[in-house]
Amino acid sequence: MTNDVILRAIPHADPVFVEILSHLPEPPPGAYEQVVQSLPGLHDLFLRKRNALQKGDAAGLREVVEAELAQLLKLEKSE
Amino acid sequence: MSERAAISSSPERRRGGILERRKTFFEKLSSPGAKWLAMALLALESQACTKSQWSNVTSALTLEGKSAGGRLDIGFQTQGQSIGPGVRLESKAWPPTHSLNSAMSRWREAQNYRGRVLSGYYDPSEYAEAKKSGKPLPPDFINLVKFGFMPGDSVMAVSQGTLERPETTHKQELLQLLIEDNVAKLHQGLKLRYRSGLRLNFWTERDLERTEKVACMLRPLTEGAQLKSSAAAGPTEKLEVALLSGSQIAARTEVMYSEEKDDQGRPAQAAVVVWYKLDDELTDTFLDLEKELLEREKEVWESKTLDEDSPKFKQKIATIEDLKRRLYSKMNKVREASLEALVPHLIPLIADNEIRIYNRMNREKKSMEFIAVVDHPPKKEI
Repeated sequence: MTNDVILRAIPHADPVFVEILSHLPEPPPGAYEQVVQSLPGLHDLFLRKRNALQKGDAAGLREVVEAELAQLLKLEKSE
Repeated sequence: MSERAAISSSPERRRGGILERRKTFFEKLSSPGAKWLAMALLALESQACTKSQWSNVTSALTLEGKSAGGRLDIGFQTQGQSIGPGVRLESKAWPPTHSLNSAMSRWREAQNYRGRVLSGYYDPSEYAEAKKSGKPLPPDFINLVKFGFMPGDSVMAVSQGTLERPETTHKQELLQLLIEDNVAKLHQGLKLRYRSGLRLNFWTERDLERTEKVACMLRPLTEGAQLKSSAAAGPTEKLEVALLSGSQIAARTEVMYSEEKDDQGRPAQAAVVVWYKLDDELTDTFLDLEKELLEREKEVWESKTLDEDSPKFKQKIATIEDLKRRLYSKMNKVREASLEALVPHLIPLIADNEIRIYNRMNREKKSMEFIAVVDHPPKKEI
């Protein structure tokens, strides 16, 4: 995924987030649009998870993981 | 049922920690978009923190340690097998769980208790090398440090129990079970040495599903070293002295509080001590039986030519079983008295805090101590 696509979806994305996503393979063509639409949510989850991990906040991490599962389930059912 | 509720009530959710369930969930994804997103989540996660931070947080999510990538269920592995820098198993002598008595097994099954056994030791040189190299320590090591192990320690046994319904009565039963479980494992282990003293650690912890998890760990206690820093060595307030009758054991129980206060003005530590006076016969019996048992077991384990079907081998095993039976019979007197005296005092002190239990035998004074120390006890009156 190119930096351009990521930054269009999230104009002030965290540099680490952009760096990691830019090294991942391109999303499957049939799901490309949906994945791009999910990026802001993915970015938010990344920031929350990093914050919880760095603070040693197990409860916070649990909430993030629950939110991740909900987002994935939503995507899974929409395709 | 909502999507979220469907996840929450799935069998995977009930069985394991949230990260374990997430793994299962990821594996079942079928849509390409969701699969890509899951991959992205894991890639981002790997860069969100150090391994140490990850282990510390996820260890708090589940005492099983599986979700952190570490495992404590490493018992019964072969001698000398390395499980990571600084951690090496040295004994294959620990009994499998089916050797515990049937009543305990039934209780375990009914309460979804999951036991773990660990034996091994930390090699300080390997630990130092790992630290020097700057490589992250493996989750197994981090977990063990969390459980109070230090480089160079000999690990005697570890038990963990999971209790799905944290009612007080069940908690009491689980505590008793875990104490018995550990003591039973120690009795059957090659490394058992009464003279070195033993230390039993307990933890209670609630996981994400608000189930109660209790873990305990037993390890040799360096003579005198641990007690100096515990409440037992500080100023005490004696609440109760009880003598337990018995032909060979005299014991008294004391509940003590440290003078040091926490930020809410409560005693920072509480300790329950069960102290025994052992007579000469019991002390000598321990020594003699232990020595003979160790010699016979060593003879069998070091033999590489014995035919397991031969009468000679069967006779040796029978001798060992008889020695064990006699030793446990004697030791059970102490164990039963310990449980009877200790647990009622311990239960009110348990919150989400750590409880450390020490069990020491002083051969010169012919006495044995069973000491439980609790940090930040929830209340002073018991």
